[in-house]
Amino acid sequence: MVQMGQGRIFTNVTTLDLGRIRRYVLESAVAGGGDPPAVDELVLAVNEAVVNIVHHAYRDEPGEVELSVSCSEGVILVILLDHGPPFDPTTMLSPDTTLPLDKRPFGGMGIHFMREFCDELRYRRDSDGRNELTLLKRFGPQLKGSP
Amino acid sequence: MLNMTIDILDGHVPVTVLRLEGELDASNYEQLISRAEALYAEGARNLLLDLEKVDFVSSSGLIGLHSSALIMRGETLADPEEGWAAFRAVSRDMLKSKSQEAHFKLLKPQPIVRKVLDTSGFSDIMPIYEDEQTAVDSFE
Repeated sequence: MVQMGQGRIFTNVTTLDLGRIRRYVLESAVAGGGDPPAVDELVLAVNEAVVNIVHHAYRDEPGEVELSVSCSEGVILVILLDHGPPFDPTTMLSPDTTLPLDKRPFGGMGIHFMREFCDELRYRRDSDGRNELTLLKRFGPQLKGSP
Repeated sequence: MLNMTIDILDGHVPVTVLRLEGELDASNYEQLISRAEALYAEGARNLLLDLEKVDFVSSSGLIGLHSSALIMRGETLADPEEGWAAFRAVSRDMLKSKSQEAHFKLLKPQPIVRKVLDTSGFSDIMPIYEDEQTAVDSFE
């Protein structure tokens, strides 16, 4: 069973905070035993998720993001919480990466990376009315998609 | 944080090597675009982006790469405030095929950056080199 770590609240988050948020995830995941290649991919996915929160949930107004990182039994779990209007990034379409760049729809690459670099993405609206996004990444001998 | 330095190297043609250091993300990708615009205004026509010391490139960073490639083609970029829709409009008449960029190339991306380039399809259209001299000599 994955034990949840203590969360950290980042306030007035803008894109200028992305670096320190990435470092927090990196250090927490590595401290929890995550292997570097898996952690690098997860950090990228979390970065994209936070950018979505900044742009879509908070409409580029500084807002609060709560983030927790836990590692156990070959799994890294990151949970992101924000107070924005309901926004489910898991329903966004991924772009067709075989298309020339000029024919791709607006945006979408962030969610594409989240899907490609995480083994599971889950969204729900929690009982406090917050958006809750869970990113799960397996590491070690497990293969992506394995139970 | 993103640091940028420049070298001018001679291959078959003069090549501007823009060396990045740090992380390329939503907070600073526009700095790359501005630098590419300035280089083009100063006469640079072949740009090699050295990514050896870049630890991180996000989807926003890819906008920086894409925009820089368009700049080296001589395209005028739309207002970045308009976002991807603007960039798409500018490149509509250019990227009719998936041929690789001739005036904008990448050097020594780190493994996670290479994954981003591969996953996004950018590695299909932006030449990537592991050797600097080979990269410089590839410009014509």
